Amino acid sequence: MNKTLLIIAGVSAILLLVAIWLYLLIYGTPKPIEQFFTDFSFAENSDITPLTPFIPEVTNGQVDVDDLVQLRQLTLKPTIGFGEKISITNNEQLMLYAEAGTGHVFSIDLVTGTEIRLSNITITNPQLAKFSPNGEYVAIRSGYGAQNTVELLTLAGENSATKVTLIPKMVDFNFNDNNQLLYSEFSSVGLTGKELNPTTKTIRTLFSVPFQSATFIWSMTTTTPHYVYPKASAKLTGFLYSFVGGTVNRLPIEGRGLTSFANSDYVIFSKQTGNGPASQAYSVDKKTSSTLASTIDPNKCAFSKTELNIFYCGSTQETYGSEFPDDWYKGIRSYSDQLWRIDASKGSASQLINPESVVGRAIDVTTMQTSSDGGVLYFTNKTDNTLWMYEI
Amino acid sequence: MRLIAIIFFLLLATPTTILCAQVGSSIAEITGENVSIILNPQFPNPDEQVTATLDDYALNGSGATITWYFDGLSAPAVTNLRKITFTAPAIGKSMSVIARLTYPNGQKIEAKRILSPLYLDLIVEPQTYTPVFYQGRALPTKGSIININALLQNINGPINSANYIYVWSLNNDSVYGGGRLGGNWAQIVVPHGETSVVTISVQDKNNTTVARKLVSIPTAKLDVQFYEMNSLLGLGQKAISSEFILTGNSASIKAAPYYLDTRAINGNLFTEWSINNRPTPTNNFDPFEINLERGAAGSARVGFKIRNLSELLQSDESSFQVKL
Repeated sequence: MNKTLLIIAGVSAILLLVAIWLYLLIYGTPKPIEQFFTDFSFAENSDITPLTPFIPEVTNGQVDVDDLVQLRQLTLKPTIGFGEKISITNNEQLMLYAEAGTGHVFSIDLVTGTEIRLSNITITNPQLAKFSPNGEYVAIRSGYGAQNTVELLTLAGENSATKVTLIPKMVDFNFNDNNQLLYSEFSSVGLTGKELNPTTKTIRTLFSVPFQSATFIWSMTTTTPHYVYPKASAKLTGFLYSFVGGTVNRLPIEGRGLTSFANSDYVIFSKQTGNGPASQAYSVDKKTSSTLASTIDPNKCAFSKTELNIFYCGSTQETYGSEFPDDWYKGIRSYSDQLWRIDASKGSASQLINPESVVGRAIDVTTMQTSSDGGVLYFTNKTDNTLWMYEI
Repeated sequence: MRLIAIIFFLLLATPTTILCAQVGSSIAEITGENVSIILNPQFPNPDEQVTATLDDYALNGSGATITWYFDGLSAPAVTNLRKITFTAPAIGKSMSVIARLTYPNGQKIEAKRILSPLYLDLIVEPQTYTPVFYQGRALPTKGSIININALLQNINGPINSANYIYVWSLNNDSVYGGGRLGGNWAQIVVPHGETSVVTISVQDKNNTTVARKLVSIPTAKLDVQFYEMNSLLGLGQKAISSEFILTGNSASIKAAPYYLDTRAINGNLFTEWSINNRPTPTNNFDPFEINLERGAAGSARVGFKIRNLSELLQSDESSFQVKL
């Protein structure tokens, strides 16, 4: 009896398989799998184009930029500084960066994706690199504090850099748009702001401040102000000062946990309030402050180079809390930032992108820069110091 | 005889009473000696919100109309208010504030204040440890030193401190026993307590106070955080939270004792690393660093204790779990 049932079941199974085979033979192959799965016929007319995360494939020094999307990771290596270089004569758009650990300098052609090494000079304990806008120089600080040295590299093509050790012990430094190196240096009573010509090595004193624990916002031009404020702590009060033409001005901006970023027309700042940090924009011309729509961390912002009232920030929807920014500086907290465009004249903000929803991992934005044409944001992810770009 | 005595005393007393009334009335009308305006803050910053309160407790001001004047112009919106709020003038500007009491009998008494605000910023720089990469300001701990700089500024920028007398006090005790000409910088040792209140008064050479400021400085606790040391990349900047996953064969971990008195870093200090609560000597020259090597299996709890033996309240201990 059991044997009979087994034979019947087996024959039935064979007949079923033959029937399926005949059906497929007559009516053709199945449609692509996407047409069977996850197709719920929603939003058929939607114009939303999902962005694809882009992580470059680096093969033989070639970065794959075929699949251009708005948000791109430019390096897999941790960086200590970067700068955009536009060459009008060669029609090149390059991103220069210095590698953490070695201080080697690389160049990525943002159009072709070609990556070359400009400097193979190894810098001991490199911590911070700043590039001149013309792409000829990079200043790399080795070490911190009073023991540091700053190496000035002159970039002249693939593996053709030359190095000069600068005499000043620079606390903080940056190049301005005239390719002059601005820096601060400890003095007996505080800090002195100076300007170094990288070609002639001549030094000019710009201003001095009577305290040593200071954060600098360097001016990009010779006519607009530099800003200085005591380093931020949620428990201590900071004050904002501007320096232009050797004259010091105290701005009506102060508060606990004060952090700021500024250009000639606007100052954006955050400080602790009774309800945690809050952000405002101060108009230098009108001498008035307006509250921003969302709380931002000026450490994560950059002004547009084409519109003085527009700035871009990485900002989280999480609450910053009463220990901000100390906990972020300590590396106790990190954030998953969205990119925002903020109009300082109106206080309005609009979200550009939420990177985590696109690439699937949090990006804690820091050292943001805007491109010279205002169309691209460059920034590093504080978590791993990789370099990213976003086309606005 | 008794009548003569009474008349004599009446004659003696009457002119005095009249004289006092006349003097009192006269002074009140001119300077408001019996009525005054109390400002909060007493010496506001330029453009700062100020609360002015009419203080007329020495008079019976009820029934009088209170009129406020700013630079001679009346402010009807705040008529009869005893407490008003206004914005101090901008840097380089002065403003007169007058509160005038007009009694039903027509008598007028007024008080006047003139505000010429200056910026007086107290920049607090605690001399405590933070790691080299730390972008923020250090915080003071009990027994550590704080440098404080008083920056007095008018519309032209910083004022030459050599022309002013600076009087510093810490928790109501004079820091230097009195005012010092040009003494715009002070160094204090953080006393016991959750906060320290530092007050600075700046006087010109006529001993007129031109600015005063009070700042409350919180006393922080030592805070040990752990960071991975990479032989190539140096000190990591992401703090190790509760656990650390050892991916290679070994790892170097650095303990950063935030807010330790900088004088103690190479001084009278007790430090101890432990693994699973057992004190573990390290071979490193640096007492804040430990090298961990991968064992056969399992996990371990790594701890670090630190104590400033010169200031026992500067101490902390922390630990994290190492997983393979």
